Amino acid sequence: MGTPVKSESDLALGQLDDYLRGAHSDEQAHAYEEDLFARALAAEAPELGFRAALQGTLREMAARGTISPWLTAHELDRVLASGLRVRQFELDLARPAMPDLSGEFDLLVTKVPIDLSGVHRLDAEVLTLEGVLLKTMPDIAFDPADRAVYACCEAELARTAGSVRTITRVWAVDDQGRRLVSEITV
Amino acid sequence: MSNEALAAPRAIDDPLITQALAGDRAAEREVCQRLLPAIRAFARRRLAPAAAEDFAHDALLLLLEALRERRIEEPARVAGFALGICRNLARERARSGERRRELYAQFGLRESDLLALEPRHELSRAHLEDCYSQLTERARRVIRATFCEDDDDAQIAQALALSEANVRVIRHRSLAALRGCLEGPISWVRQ
Repeated sequence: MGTPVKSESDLALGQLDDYLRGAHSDEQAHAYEEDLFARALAAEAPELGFRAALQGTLREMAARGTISPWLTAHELDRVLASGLRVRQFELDLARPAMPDLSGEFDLLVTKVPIDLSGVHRLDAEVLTLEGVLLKTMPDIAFDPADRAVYACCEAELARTAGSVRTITRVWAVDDQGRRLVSEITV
Repeated sequence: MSNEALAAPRAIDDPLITQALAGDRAAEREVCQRLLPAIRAFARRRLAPAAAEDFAHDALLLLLEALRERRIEEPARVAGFALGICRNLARERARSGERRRELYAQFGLRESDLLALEPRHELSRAHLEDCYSQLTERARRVIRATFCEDDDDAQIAQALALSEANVRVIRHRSLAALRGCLEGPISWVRQ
């Protein structure tokens, strides 16, 4: 996600963040509280609900061990030991196919074999078959020794992603610069 | 936003608040639900998370007491009254456990009744995961340290070799990015 244009909602989120993190002087905090309580009573402080929901969901994901979208093989072992139902899938780059998403499971972990020697950074892009960019995932976490990256996602997200045909491009940055290391169409 | 603008009086013409002041319990509940996140923010700024929850419940009880005893006459004074309760509690810093038990008993309430006032703020884990994965690693670490580990900005800055001002900017940008992303559909259905 690029740097977004600041909207009123974003400014309100920033003000709430400054207030909660103690960035305001006592005088500023006093005035902010007057405004915050009045807006809360008038149901005009959606930033409070957003922040509470964000915190609650992030903590829930952290407790499930699923807050990291990318795992190393070592981290995968920890997720496998968590008690969650993990569906594992190894992508065949020569013949990419969708994983089996039938039945009950909590998480899908997809192993994508990639030669990571000398790689400093990995990014991925997801595009429609027509080439429209759907999302960019920067800074994929990896352990070069794994010779693969492990994408971890909730079952609901896996099913949503599995309902659409896409192209995923994986870009690596090494000493020679940025290069395309994999293009996967499923 | 200037302090002057923030402190400007706010006209209250919401019939719900008038109904709450007249003793309507459903309206009273809605008023409490609206104010609880602000009360919690007030508490979280000053106290550790567990103590902040106690504080928020104490403040809510005192607000309920004032509402039911009809000590607040004008809708325009409700927010200020609630804030005044919070400030008094903060000033006193006294954990009035006995007072709390008395009020619970007086109004026939239990802690679960107050917990039931909790507004339901829910995000889909899948949607948040989709949006969170689009942040840079540094932004993900700032968000995680802030919301999951309760680290202060000095700790985050040290861990990431950044200034505290940079941590603040990264968090503000990340919050805006997450909010914008969560307002839209999951990436794969964005076509």
